[in-house]
Amino acid sequence: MSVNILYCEGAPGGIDIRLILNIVPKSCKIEPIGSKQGFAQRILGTIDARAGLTIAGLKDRDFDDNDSPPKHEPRNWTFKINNQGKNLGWIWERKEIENYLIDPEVVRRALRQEAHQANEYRKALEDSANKIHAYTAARIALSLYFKKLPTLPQNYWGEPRNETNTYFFPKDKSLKQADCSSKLKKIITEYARKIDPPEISDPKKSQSNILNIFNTVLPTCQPSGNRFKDQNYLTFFAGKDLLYGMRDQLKSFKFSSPDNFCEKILKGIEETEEDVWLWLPEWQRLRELIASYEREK
Amino acid sequence: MKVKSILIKNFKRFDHLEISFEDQTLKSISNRFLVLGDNGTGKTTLLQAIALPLALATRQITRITDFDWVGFLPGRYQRWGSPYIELEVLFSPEEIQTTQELAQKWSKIQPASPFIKPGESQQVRLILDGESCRANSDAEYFQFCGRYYASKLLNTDPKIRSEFAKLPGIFWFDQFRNLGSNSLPEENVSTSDRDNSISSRLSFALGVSRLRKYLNGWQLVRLTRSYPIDYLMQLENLYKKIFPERSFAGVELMPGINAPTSEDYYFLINDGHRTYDIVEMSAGEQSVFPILYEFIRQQIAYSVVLIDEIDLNLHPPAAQSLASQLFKINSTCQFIFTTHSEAVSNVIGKNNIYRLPGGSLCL
Repeated sequence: MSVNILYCEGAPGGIDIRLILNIVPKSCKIEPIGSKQGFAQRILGTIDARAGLTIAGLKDRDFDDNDSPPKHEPRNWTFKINNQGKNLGWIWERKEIENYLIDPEVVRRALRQEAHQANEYRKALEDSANKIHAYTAARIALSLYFKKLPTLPQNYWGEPRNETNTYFFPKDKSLKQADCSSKLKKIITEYARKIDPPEISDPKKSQSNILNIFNTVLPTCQPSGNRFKDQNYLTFFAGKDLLYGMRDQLKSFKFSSPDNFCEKILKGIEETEEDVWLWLPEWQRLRELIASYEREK
Repeated sequence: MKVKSILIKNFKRFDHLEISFEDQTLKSISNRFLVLGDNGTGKTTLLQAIALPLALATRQITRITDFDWVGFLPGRYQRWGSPYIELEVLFSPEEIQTTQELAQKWSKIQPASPFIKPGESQQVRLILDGESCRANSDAEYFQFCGRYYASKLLNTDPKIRSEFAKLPGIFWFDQFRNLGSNSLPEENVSTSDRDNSISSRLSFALGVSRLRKYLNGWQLVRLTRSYPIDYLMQLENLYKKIFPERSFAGVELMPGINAPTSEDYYFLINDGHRTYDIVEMSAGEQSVFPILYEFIRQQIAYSVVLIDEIDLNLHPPAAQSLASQLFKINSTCQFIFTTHSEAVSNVIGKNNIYRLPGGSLCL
């Protein structure tokens, strides 16, 4: 039994659906669900409404507290209903869809790079990871700290960097550890002032708590840490941030912008006659899982 | 060749319409461009407006009245005044060079005709003004004629066949396509030859018979290894890209035939369980097969390919798959197509979509 309809994150015509279409079996129809808000409920609703179809979802991993090494396969996505876990599909092993597009192996194949170009790109990517490691640790700390609070504040900051003002990134000089610490404190104070949640009754203590998390996560994001070493930043860092962090190098490689780079990789994927799902072990595994998925009764 | 932009005035339902086919993120011409719109907003008319001047310039037709697209009435062409269509068309160096070489060969066997060497402009403005079609110069206008030269030379030199894959062309597949609608008997024949073939639209049986002749001929060529290129394998590879579980299963003699010709054999497809003849194909397969078949038979590349209702009769995953496979069918072509299918529109990037005004937004 194969999945008939696979729901994914992202907008119609977006990166998610265009990439996934080249990975999954042809018999599977893909539908973008837009925002991840209420993703699980929307799948459950569709399963109820369209009995007989095999329906599953695929969502981003986002930031979490698990820094164990990648297994190169998607994780099972289970959702608790009446104290029972229900399979909804899978969670990407990497933070978001861009993490796959910027993978050096994908870039090499999609852009048909020569070896020296591939090496230059690999270095640019690693430099970017190094540049954003403290900022990434701060973003992870925010995500972990606010995970259970009712209104999650943004786990990023900086200037709007795309045409639609939906992506933000700090100035390069504000990416250092000290800048990130002070920004975290500021975000906690602002959040407590605006929302006044009972969980933050003592802002000073909360500032100290989030800095503790930040200080715990930070070493894992440094070059020798679990979230960085062995190219693990491709799994744990935000792909969009890694992309934006190497924008100057991308320009020197003749890509006018990170968006332009992404679009060219996507075009390479869409045009190649190769079996794209073989490019990464996780893609191959996802394809197998989708082809053999058994619907829960 | 690829269409960079179009300006339409006074053509059927359009007073004035301008569309750019450039991808604003990639800063290049879109190879896969989707036109959306409600019923009656002019999707098919837009495709016709692209096809008509290109068909004239490539000499697929010599008069407006030859334009063969169901739903186009030559008698009403000037109903709202004199139509004006302007296309900005880009050519690649390979197309330009091959066209010039073939023009040179053609001139040698036509010494009585004045020779105009096709130009080498990478961007040409093509204008259809009323009944008259022109470019900035004759040389630029003749840049469109590569397939015309090749089809003429093919009569005396079969080796020319391989040159078609380097030449610009215009091909369209309307919403009435089926196995019987393979309208051209040879690669881009001239109008006088074409007159005989137009009737194929009127007869499904005639069209299928012609299709069998080609397919079974290719099968014979494969068996006898009498030609270096296996067209049947090329077609099967394309077909499997869209319908992965199917394969070609050879031929089967029709009952009651004593002295069979190539048209007297069924051409069989295997669906993994049983075989069936092309006439027994599903409606969805019948809407895709003519496109794939023409790609192989006419060696379509470097061409503008227009497909009306790309999802015609297709199950949503197959429609989605077809839209995604267009690049892989031939990445040198520019595909411009329409749909009402959300499954299709979902997989096309927003920089490669134009929504015709009017109607209600639901796609």
